[in-house]
Amino acid sequence: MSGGESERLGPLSARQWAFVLAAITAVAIADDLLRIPVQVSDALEEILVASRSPSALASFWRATFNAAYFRPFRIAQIKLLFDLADGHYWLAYRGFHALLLVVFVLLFTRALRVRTATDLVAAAFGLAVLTGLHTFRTLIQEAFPINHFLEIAVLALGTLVLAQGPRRLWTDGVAVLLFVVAALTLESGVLIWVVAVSAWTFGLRGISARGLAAMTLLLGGYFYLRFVTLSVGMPTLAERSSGYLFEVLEPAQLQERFGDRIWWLRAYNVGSSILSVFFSEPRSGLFAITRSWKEHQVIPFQVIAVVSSAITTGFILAAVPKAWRALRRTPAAADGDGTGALVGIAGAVIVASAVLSFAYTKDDIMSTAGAFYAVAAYAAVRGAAGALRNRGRATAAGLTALLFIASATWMSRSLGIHHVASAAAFKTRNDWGLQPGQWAREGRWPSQADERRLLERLRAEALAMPAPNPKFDWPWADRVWGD
Amino acid sequence: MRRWPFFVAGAPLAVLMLARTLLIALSLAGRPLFWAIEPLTLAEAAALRDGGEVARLLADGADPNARYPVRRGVVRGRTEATPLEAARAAGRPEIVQLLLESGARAD
Repeated sequence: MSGGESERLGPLSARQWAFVLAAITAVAIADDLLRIPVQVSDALEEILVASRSPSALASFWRATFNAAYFRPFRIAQIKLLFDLADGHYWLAYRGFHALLLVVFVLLFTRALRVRTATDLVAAAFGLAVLTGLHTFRTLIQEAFPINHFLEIAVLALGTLVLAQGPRRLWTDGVAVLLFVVAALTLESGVLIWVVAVSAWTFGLRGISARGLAAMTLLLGGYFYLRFVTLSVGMPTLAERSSGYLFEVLEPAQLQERFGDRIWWLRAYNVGSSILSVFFSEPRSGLFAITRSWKEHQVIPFQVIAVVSSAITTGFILAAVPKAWRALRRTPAAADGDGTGALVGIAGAVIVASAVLSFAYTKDDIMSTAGAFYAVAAYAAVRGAAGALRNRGRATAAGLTALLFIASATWMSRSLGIHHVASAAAFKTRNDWGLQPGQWAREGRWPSQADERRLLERLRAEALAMPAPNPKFDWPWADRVWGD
Repeated sequence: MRRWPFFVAGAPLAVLMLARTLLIALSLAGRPLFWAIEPLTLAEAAALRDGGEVARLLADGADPNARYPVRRGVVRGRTEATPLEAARAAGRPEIVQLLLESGARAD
């Protein structure tokens, strides 16, 4: 079988089977998404703001010059979907969320470049990691009312696919466009530049040096605009609570403990963000599982999370020498199956995402890193298949057992996403049932008649969507699939 | 080529894909596995902290002062209750407030 060919497995090629698995995964999860009402917290206010704006362009300009955060394209998108919704807000926002999810899973599968039956099994493993990792959960649970972290992950995977492909006339232009859209959507958008540069460094040259230079110039322009022209500042310690070792510290406690050595907390946030992707611990800076273990109250899902991540990280670490070789030998052909490049790029994205988490740790910020961890897991497990063939019986038996445990635990974590989605639907519908009354009592009910109508419409849409009450869940569901 | 140990190790992934295929099939058949809805009375919804369902039932005209049957174990020691009794038993002041604002009598 030559380089670009895909092994035939019955009626379809291995590559086509991989897309069948991706489609099954995406459709099953998108079906869940379409059962969750539009979110209330962090979303309703954005929708009301969109309703007041005359156009998406006006929203873009207002957000560019007036907002505390520099995310103009995010605000413009919310307005654009609001206008397109024509009154069907749930359909517009959740439909877009589901569409993003489908594109996310398909681009991930495209980036794996499946060719053989072995690749196909590794791709199934990668899909389980992608949808089982805790950083994926926030991509499903939350939408503000669009999940922009999911959008950044989609754009990052799109950049990787561009870098893997042959260089075409339009490739650089599309890559630059992806960077501009991402950078103007969220701060995490700068990860697009990281993906492009690390891909080039590890020998994937679909995006040319000229394209990279243009992206680098734009990155410089972004920083200048953000920090010099617009003076959009950094988050301070007073803004939110943060996990630190075994406790969650409130802003006042953070100020008291780290006021004069803030760099220590920043370094802790970066380090704990990296660990959270590789070992599913700590979570948001908090060593929750270690604390549970010390208190003899470990819950099954905690064990499943740490075991699955630790084994998978072990396989990834075993593939690091390949990444090193890929770094030293260019072009990518020297890397054979591309394992080294995928592991190397994933490492760069995970570290860069962690650096972006310096101010506070949050699963959302690490969601793109989580997707690239799944890419690395695919490459590493595919490499382990080679080791199975070449080692002695005892080593092969040990590797097989480890792979089986990893597959089984990731299967459990990935299935848990359906439980998580139904719990998110219950919570959101509950919020719609109770919060409007609270706003009315607090005098926060909109005074404008059209805003009141909009709010009532959104509430009616949410209440009309039945959500299962957790009381009737399987009694073990939360212990195995909870969070 | 000795590929079978790798495929054996991946068996749980085949189970995962079959499970997802089953989820899609059940959803198309109108019986989504993770979304099975148990119909609740207003008192049960109040007891089970289901503010969304309480709001929907009230909007659909359910009487906040009527007595409703409740499943065993939903409200301790009771087989029927008013929504207000059920919400108080569950310790959910927001639902008590919602019921009072919807015409439930505190007495």
